[in-house]
Amino acid sequence: MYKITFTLKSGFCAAYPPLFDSILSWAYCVAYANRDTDLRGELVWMSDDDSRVFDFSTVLTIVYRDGLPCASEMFWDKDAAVLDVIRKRKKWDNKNDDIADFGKKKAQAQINKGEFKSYDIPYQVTVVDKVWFYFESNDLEGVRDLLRYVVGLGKHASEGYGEIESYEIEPESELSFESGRILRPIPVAWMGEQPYRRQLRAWKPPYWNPANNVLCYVP
Amino acid sequence: MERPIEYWRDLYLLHSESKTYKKRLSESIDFVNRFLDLGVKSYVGWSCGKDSTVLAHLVNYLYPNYPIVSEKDDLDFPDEIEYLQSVSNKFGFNSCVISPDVKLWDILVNHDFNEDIHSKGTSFSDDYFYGLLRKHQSEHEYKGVFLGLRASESKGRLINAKVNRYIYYNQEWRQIVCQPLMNWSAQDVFAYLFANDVPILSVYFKTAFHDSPEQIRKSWILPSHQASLGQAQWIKHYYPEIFLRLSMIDPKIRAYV
Repeated sequence: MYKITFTLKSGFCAAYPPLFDSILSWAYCVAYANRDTDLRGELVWMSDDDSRVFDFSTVLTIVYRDGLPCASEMFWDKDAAVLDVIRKRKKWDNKNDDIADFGKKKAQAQINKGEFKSYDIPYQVTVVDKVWFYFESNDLEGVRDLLRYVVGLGKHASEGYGEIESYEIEPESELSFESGRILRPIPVAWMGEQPYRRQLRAWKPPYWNPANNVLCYVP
Repeated sequence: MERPIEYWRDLYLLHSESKTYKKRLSESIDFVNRFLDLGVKSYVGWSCGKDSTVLAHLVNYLYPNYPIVSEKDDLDFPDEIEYLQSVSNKFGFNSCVISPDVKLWDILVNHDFNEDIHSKGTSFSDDYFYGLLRKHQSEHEYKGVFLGLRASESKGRLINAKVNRYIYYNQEWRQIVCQPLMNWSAQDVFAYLFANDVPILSVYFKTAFHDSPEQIRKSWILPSHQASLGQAQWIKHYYPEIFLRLSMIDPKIRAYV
């Protein structure tokens, strides 16, 4: 098993800790899906038929066990972290008043619904120097290759949140995915009654799909 | 930022010592007495929110056993019924709970809960909230009501306060309305609750995205038109199971987190 430690330039923004395989999956899409038209046809993200959903286990260079990727969620030193709240806002700008100029026609541009709807959404930002993940892989170079496309961790990475300065991969001998310690969400139904923290979480990709949310043991 | 309840208790207890607070409390007591002097059969509307809890406690303190009416259903916050019962028992409220005879979660699929769903005039709230209150009012022949509305809550309520003042006749509902807290600030409300040792619903201390409990509004556990203003994010943070359930009904809510 390996431990990958990212040094961050800026605080990250995430409702739940991201999972390492989801980051690699995203990197894979950036790296190949936009170029390879054949692949684009295969990329079905959500379907009632599980067999149609693109299977990243065939392309990621991490180990899968019982259908679950051996990739942990993100960890950081919670005592050292500073929490902050940022707000993302969109509101009507007066420079766009010509859009709402309908001449003599009675009409209006609505800002409480539709395409001009204003928003003001808070996001919690965690400011911390280092974050880390655990993963198992038989091809480290494949992982490093995908990480070339990852510039940030968490939400709004394109706006500078969770910006990565550098990363370091080292072997991890004390922990393993079979050591009994929970490193990623695992369905409660798989393990029976255990004294671990429980949370409703997505346990398999795609993690954003509400249908994949079940009660899980979480780190 | 989230802070322990002790922090807020100390802060608001300090405010309860202020002259402004004491003056507003005294004015409110005066309005309650004036309204009751009218001799109209009335009740207190209690939603378990902070404002109506103050009012229910105040009226019950001045006139023990005064009728208090709450509307509760399956779209309320998970600990609300428990809260209602504990406060009722602690202060001996003469409370009556009315509920719709249908499960609102089942009906929600036909409504856009990311837009206004709780104001008067929206079909969902007219059918399953205001409709129930009207029916109850008519069955019990209530001709008046105490409401815990405050002018500082919204522009509409400010206009209401300026036009109607504290006691007025509502033609649409055909009842006399008394709103003794119209002049109160949210600080006054929390000061009253802490000073009188009245339990406060836990939602008010879920302040990860707010500066203080004063900014939290309690209604149904739906984002409503506040979805795009942080309410969807707040629900996801504190009530992930409910957020998931809502996102299965209408995935649009995920656009606001």
